Parts: sequence; structure tokens; C-alpha cells
Amino acid sequence: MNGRWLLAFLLCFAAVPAHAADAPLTGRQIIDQMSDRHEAPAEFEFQTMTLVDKAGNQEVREVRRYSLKDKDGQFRYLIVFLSPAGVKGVALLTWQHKQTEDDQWMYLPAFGDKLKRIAKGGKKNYFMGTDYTFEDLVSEDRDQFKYERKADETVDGKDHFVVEMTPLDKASAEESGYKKRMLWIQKDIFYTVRTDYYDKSDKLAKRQTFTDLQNVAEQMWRAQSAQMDNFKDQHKTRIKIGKRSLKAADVPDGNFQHRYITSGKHAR
Amino acid sequence: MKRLNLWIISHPVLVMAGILGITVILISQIPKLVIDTSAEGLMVEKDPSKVYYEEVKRKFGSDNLTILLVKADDVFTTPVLGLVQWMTAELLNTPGVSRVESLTTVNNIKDDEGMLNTEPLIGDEIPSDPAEIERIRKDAHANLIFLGNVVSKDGRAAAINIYTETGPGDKEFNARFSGRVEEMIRQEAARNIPGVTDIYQIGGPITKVTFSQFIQADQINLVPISLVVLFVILYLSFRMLQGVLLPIVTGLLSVAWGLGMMAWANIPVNVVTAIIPSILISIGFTEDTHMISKYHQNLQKGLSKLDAIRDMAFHSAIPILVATSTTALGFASLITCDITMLIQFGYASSMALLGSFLVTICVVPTFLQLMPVPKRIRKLSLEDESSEGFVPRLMTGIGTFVCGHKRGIVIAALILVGVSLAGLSRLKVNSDFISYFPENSFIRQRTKDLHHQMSGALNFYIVVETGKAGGAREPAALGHVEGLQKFLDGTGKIDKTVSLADYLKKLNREMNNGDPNFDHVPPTADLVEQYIMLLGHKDLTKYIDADYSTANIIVRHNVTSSWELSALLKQVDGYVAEHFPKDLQVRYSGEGILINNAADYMAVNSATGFSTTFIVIGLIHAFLFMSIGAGFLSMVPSLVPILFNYGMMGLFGIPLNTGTCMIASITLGVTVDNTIHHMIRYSDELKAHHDQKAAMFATLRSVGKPITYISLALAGGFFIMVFSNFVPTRQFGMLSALVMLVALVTELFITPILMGSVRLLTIWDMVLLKMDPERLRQATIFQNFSKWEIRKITLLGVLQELGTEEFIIHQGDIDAAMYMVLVGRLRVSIRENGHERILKKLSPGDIFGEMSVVEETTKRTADVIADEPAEVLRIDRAALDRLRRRFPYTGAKLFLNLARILSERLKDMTQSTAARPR
Repeated sequence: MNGRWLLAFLLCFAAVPAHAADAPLTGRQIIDQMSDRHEAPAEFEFQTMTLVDKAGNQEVREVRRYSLKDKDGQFRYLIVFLSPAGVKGVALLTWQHKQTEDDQWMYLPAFGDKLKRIAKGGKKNYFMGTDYTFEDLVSEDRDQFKYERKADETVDGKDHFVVEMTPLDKASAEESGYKKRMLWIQKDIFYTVRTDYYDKSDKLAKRQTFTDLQNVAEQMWRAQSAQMDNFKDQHKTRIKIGKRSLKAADVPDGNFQHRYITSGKHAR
Repeated sequence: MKRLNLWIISHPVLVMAGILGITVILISQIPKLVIDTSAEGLMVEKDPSKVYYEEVKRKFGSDNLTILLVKADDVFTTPVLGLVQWMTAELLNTPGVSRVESLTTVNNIKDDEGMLNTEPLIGDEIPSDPAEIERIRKDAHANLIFLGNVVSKDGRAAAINIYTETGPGDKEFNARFSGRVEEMIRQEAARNIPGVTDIYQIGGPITKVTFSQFIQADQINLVPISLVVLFVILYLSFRMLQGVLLPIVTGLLSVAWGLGMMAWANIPVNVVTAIIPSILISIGFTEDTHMISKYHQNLQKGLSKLDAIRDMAFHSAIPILVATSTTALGFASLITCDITMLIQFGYASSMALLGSFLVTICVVPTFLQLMPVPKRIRKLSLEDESSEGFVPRLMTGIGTFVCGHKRGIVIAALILVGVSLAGLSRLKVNSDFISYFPENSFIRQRTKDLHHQMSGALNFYIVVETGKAGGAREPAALGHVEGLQKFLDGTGKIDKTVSLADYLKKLNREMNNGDPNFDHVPPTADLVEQYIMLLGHKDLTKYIDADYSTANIIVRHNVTSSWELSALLKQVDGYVAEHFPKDLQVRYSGEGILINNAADYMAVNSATGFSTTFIVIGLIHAFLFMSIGAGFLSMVPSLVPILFNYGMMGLFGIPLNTGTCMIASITLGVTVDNTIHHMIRYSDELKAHHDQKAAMFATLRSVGKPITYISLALAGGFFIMVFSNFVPTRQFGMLSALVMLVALVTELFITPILMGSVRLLTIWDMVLLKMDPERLRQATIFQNFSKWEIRKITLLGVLQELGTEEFIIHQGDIDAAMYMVLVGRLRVSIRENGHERILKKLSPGDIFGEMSVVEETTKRTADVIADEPAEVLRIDRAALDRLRRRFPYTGAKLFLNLARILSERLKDMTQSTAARPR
């Protein structure tokens, strides 16, 4: 074979990655980028959660939410209710695991000084009467989903990626409560501003919108308010962030231990 | 009125054109007619519970429940559960569905080896693994909320409970929704899923749709058959085409007008207004028959066709107007009631009756003019009166019987009334929707089957109000809810109750590792609050309201009669009064409760509405006959059969419902009509015969025939309703047929006795009296009399018309009556040697025959003969006695004047004697 031809041939191949850098991002790449930019290893939020029913009746709760990435790259979450008075101290503790089922405990102070373990797969259930299932509150294992990029959309003058997220295999499909999710990701900051949730019969069941975006660290953004519209139940949940911290000091590891909760410190 | 009749008779073409024009316009409205199957019409308008019901629906969601039942050898198999899942998903996507509960939607709270599992009972996919299927079976059986609710205890039936909400004014919803469900069932049935034995739906929408289909089927099948029966009987009676054809034409026209007017007035066809065509035909044809009968009698008397029609129109105008207006008024009195359907019926029926009146007075004379005189009549008219048919002979027999057994008949009637009153006290009211369907209808069959398999298809809410936010989370309040549920279970009448307490008990138990000792309401309000948060308030909205002040118990039952349900609610009231603290309010709500409320109103309404109608008609008659007694006696022939009807219903346990409560109105409509014809004819005959007994026989012979035909034909027509799809209509048919016969007997046996006991004179006799009160006042007999007193006295008398040279008094007769000349001239004369010697000329205002009222057994001393057509007023001694007793002042004046006249005569006689040469 002619050496020149070989070179040309090799150059052709070399040109591929060079082009690829400019090539449109794939769905997965967009999601990875988003995750890289906005994922915080430790986070604390004080939230005001408002539940609104069909008739417009409201129920307001105050919540503390902690999340911390462990050494395996898995997250631990603690959600604590502070008000109304009757539910003060109710808590939900979650330990994510890479290979096995997540561990989840619930704490009801009026039930007694012990945490009650929640059986596997509680992911699809609505969380404490809100319109969020536990699945909606945690970050997903990206290897279990397929991310398909759809045509970009301009919403309110801003460009957005549109990504369709579907479970990759039967096992993850069974674990998820959704057939698919559609994400609208603001291009300039790679931040999700809207998610549409489609139920197993492919019907739009819920929509979450994030507003009041704030730049919290270099490339990292956070929404100060979120709203989950549950079309099926004609119900919605609004979340407003009152206080936020990304400092590791505000999210000590001890917060994710049972004793922290049973001692009642978590609600103080 | 008579002038209007004359005008109609002289303009047949114009009248027919007018009638046709109106008919075309009204028929064009009919397509706008709506069939209303909502149960709303059965409810009480402005019922405060209705407002509360709306509030409860806002809080706890719709109570409009449809149950789709899947029966199988075993529900817990992959294909059957797959079927339930598919149908559940389809239903969730069906418009108008607000909530679906089935094995595939319920969350299964359970202890999982010390862990709490709140997963759905069945995941997204129906497992094929037998172990997993067994797990589902076990879990389903361990949850009392599921049993009898989404799955039967024996595992052979699964229910999909569908709550629907109808958009405002969406009248097609029920048809659309149940049609969609039926389509799904057909689709699944076609797949022949192994093990599935039956799939059906039952509940509000399908029941109402079937209801509507039944109404239409009744109208299409029964009304024509009943018409045919009616006309066959009529033909057999008259044996003349005319007697059948005319009622058909006027009947159809009246129905077309009635339905057209209903459409125009936006009154829907519902289970009550659906009866209107039958009423129109029955009352309309009562009129027609009276008219035709009179016409035939006129022809038989030898009158020319036109004269016969004229005379018929003259004589029927007043009774028809009176009967129609009183009946219309009777129906219109329903407008004042509170039940929507009956109000609509009040408007529609009174309007339609007035239309029918117009049709009758326009069409009958016009039609008779256009039709040839029936051959049979022509033949009969040539024959002797004595060869009259069976009915007149029967009537004569009845007359003789009545005369001979007055006391016996009255006693028999009183016994009948007594027994009826005793039965009346046991009369029950039923407004329940399901009880409209016969036992063998699929609605009843499915309702019963569902009740046996799962729990009754009927439901209502028991709302427990604490009055303070969070109050319904208090363990004490929840304990009361639980206690009430236990009490309800203990009554044996309730199939299933579900409340927040059930969910809390179940969660409490499972939180405590499934320990049955913890199967109780949580001990603290905080724990209740935390449990509710865990379960998710939005999944509990059927059981607790937004501010947690009010709890709701969903009650499923199979009680299909109002009185049983009312008794049950009373029992619950008793329990609540005994066990609940004052601050816990317990109320019932739901469509079933509202319909049940209507039962009480129906009873009260029927009673008050009917008595009002009755009294109003009675007063009108009292006015017409110028006598309170006559007015109310005219109501007896209606009252006896109506009392009989409701008495029998009480005795045989047939409830008052929207069908049977119509019987009073219809009976009243028909019997008042007959009685008015009867009484007016009697009053006419009395003028002609001057003898009550003769008048009674004549009346029976002439009116008896149409009354008998009408009653038999209506009884036959109504009897066909026995084949209706609806229980109330069947009962209506059976009873009204019977009542028609009782009314016939009453009319023939009791009315003559009643009429004999009162003086019958009608107000129009008086108004039409060709007298000049001013002139009468100058007569000696009425000296110092007011106009009103003169009228009173004239009303005591009998008006007699005289032809030229007709004798009114024969010399030598013995009777006790004085006369007054109202119109015309008469002469008093004696016969001497075959020659007539005129003693005196009489002119209006003059009195004659007065001697006989002063002294009994005086022979008439002279003849009195009319010189020209004249009218005289005959006042007999009995009438004068009555006057003296009832109006002593007027009586005294009259007798004084009489004395003056007598002394005047004496003076005359003395003078003439004195003047006579000796």
C-alpha cells in the first residue's frame, strides 16, 4: 500500500475526533456536563413546602434537607420536617448503594424512639403526601438510563437542550415509576429548568419547573423555587428555598446516623 | 263560550286550518324535546341538603359510583389480573372519571419482616410467577379495606370502582360513559380470557341510561298497545267507527300539542312527565265520548245533523270547560310542591290539558260535520225508544236498585271508606331509584349479585363534623367513627363501610410488625397526623377534608326502599344521640340520601297537594252549583275511588312512588269529568221532568252509557301499563285500571243518591236566566227585596220552559208549588162545558199557584196555559221550607208578601162578589 495513501487514511481517522469536539453533544454528554457543573458533594437546604389541592386548599410545611456524597460516590439524604407542630421531627433517612438496594428509614416521633425501615423499592411512592416520589428527589444512576437528545427549543428567549430520558433495561424500567422523562436544559448554564414526567401508559402525569435561578459557585447554579404539578391528581407541591449551604461543615456525616435522629437533635 | 262554539261550527275549514297550523308548529318543536334521566328531578328543589351535598362533593369527591365487576374461577391469575389492570388504565383515561379503585391501584400497607412496605399491591406488570401471584392473594386477603371493595372474600370476583363527575349540564354523560364501559366489556369478553366467567357494570350511569331506555321503550311499545286496547273496547261499545276515529284524531293531536309545548317550554320527558300522553288521551277521550254520545242521542231524537252538532256543542261546552279547567287546575297545583319532576309535571300537564281542550272543542264538532251520520244511528233513530241497547237497560236496572237500596249503598260506601282509611294509615312511600326496576331486570339482578359477591352498589356518605380544624385527627373522634362503623356493620343492612379509621388501624398494625393487638386507632393526635402524612393526604381525600375538621365514612349498601333506608338512618341517629358527644355532628349525604329525602316530601306533597286540589275543585263546583253542599258532594265520586286506591296500596304494601302518586290526579281528572257531565245532565233533566226520580233515570240512561264506556276503555288502556318495564308504572297500571272500575261503580250507584239529596242549579242557569231583576223587584212578591234576595229565591226554584199552548197547571191536580212568570205571557182559565173561560192574564213578575204552598192537598182550581213560549220559575213548598230555615229574614219577607198577595186576591174576590148583581 502506498505510504501516502496510508497517511491520508490515518489522517482521515484523526480528523474524526477533531470534528467530534465541535460535533453536537449527545444526550448523555449534556447530562454528564450538567451533573459535573451542578452536583455538590455536600448540601443543606431549608425549604418551605406548600401542598395545594384541587380546590386550592394549602398545607405548608417546613423542611430541612441534607445531602452528602460518601467515599464511594454515593449519596446519603436526610429530610426533616419542622412544622406543622404535629409532624415536627418526622424524618426520612436514605443511604444510596451502588450495587445493592438503597437503605431507607422513616422516623415518626409519635410512634416511638426508633427508626422504621422502609421495605425495598419505595421509590415510586409519593413522599409524605407531596407530588414528589422519592425517585424525583434523588439523583439517578446515569448508567441505568438512555438519554436521547431531541430538537433544541427556545423558551422565553433562552436556548434549551431537550433530552428524553428512558430506562435502559427491564430492571431499571421496573424500578422507575415513569415510562420516560423529558428534560429542558438551559444551554448557557446546563441547568434543568423543566422536567415532564410520563407515566407507564405514556401520559403526561407531572411537570416540574425550576425558577428563580441563582449562581451559587463558579459554574454551579441552583433554583430558589420549584413547583411540581401533578396533572393526574390535580395537586401541586411548591418548594421555596429559604437557606442554603454548600459547606461541608454544615452537613456533618453524623447527621446521617440513626442516633442523630433518635436523640431528637435533628429537629432542634 | 257558546258563541265560540257556534263560531267553530260555522267555520269548519278555517278552524281545521288553524288547528293544523298550530299542530305543524308544535310538532316542529318536538325534536327539541329532551329525555332527562338524571336523578336530580327526583330530588326536592331548594332542599337544604342539596346545598350540603354540593359542599360534601367538593370536599370528598363525587359519590357517583360505577362498579365494573369481573367474575372468574379465580381472580388471582395472571390473565384475570391483567384484564383488571388494562381496564383500570383505560378507565383512568376515560373523560369524566375522577377516581378509580381496583386491585391494581391500591397501595398495600404491610409489614415486610419488620420493614414497612407501602408499595402498590400489584406492580406495573402483572407477575407470571405463581409465588408472586400467591403473595398478592395473601396480601389482598389480609387487608380488610380491600375485601368486599376491590376483591370478593372468596377471590372469585374483582371490582373496579369508578367515581365519575358529570360536567354541568352534560346530559349525555351517562350514556357516553356507560357506553364506553360496555364497549370495553365487549372487547374483553371477545378475548375469552381463561377463567373469566362474567364481566358487567352496575351503578349510577348505567342505571340511569337503562331507565331512559325503559321510558322510551314504554312509550314506544305500551302507549300504542294501550291505545289499541282502549279503542277496541270503545269500538265494541259504540260499534261505530266514528266513536273510535274521533278520539284517535283528537288524542293524537293533543299528544302532539302536549309534547310540542313541553319541548317549547324546555320541560324534559322524565319518568313522571312521560305519563302525560296517557293522561291526555284518557281525559281527551272522556270528553270526546261524552260529546259523541250526546250527538248520537240528538240524532236518535230526530234532530238534523247540524242541529244535533249544535245542541251537542251547546250542552258539552260548559261541562268540558269546567272539567278541563278544574283538572288542569288540579295538576297545576303540583307546581307548588318541592319535587322538581312533579313541578315539571304540573306545568306540562296543565298546559297540555288546556291544549287538549282547544283541540277537543275545535275538532269534534268540525269532524262530525265532515263525517256522515253513522248508519247504525240512522237505523236506530227509526226504531222505538224501548228497543234501546243493553247499557240503557242496565242503567234503568241500576237506577231501580239505587232507589231501593239507598241506605245499603251508603253504608257499603262508608264501610269501603273506613277500610280505605285504615289502609291509608299503613301506606309507605318509596322514592328509591333501583326499586323502579322489576326484580328480573338486569339492573336488579346485577345489583343483587354485586351485593352478594362484594358490597351493594348503592352508597352514601356519613359525614362526621368536629367543627374545628384538626378535630377529625383526634383519636376520640376517630374512635367514634370506628364505633359508628361497627354499629353499621351490626345492623346487618350495610355491606361495607370505609373510613380514615380503617387506614389508620391498618397502618398502625403494620407499623407494629403486623401485630393484631395494634389493630386500633392510633392513641395520639400527633401519631394520627404523622400517619396521615405518611399515607399522603391526597390519597385520603375521600375520608378526611382539607383542614382535618371533618371525617367521612363511605357506606355501601343494598337497601332499595325509602322507608327501610329512613328506618336505618333513624337507627343511626339513635346510636349517635346515645354515643356521640354534642360537639360531633353527624350528617348523611349523597344522591341516594337526596332521593330518599324526596320520599318524605312526596308523601307530604301528595297529601297537601291533593287536598288543596280537591278543595279548590270542590269550591269551584260549589260556586258553579251555587251550593257548598253540592260542590263537595260533587267530589265524593272522586274521593271514594281515590281513597280506595291508597287504602288498598296501604293494605297490600304497595308504596307511594312517582307512579302511584299519579293515580289520584288521573282519577280525579276522569271522575270529575264524568261527575260534572252527570250532574249537569241531571240538572237539565230535572228541568225537563220536574221529578228527581225521573230525572235520575233519564240521566243514568243518557250519561250512564258514555261513563261506562269510558271507564271500561280506560281500565283496559291502563291495564296494559302492567306490562311496563317499570315497577311504579306496573303498579300504576294495575291500580288505575281497578280504580277506574271502582269510580264507575261509585258514579253509577253513589252519584245519583248524592244528587237526589241536594238542589242542583247551576250558576249559568242563573246568569242565563232571561229575567229582568229591576222588573221583578216591582212585582208584589218581591216587594222590599234586594236584588240578591231575589236571586236567592229564584235559585230555590226550578226553571221551566213552556211552549205555546203548553199547560203548566191542570185544573184538579194536587201538588204543592207556586210559580212566577219570568218570560212570556200565560193565561189562567177554567173549562166550563167544554169551553175555556179566561180568568186572568199573567205577565212576567206575576205569581200563580200560590194557594198550594199555603194549604196542602188543595186541588188546582184552574188551568194555566202559555200563550207564547214562556219561562216560569217553580218554587215548591220544600224549597220554601228550606228558605225559611236558612234565611229566616228573607223567608219572613217572602211570606209577608205572599200574605199581601193573598189578601189582595181576597179583596179582589170580595169586590167582584160585591159587584156581582144579586
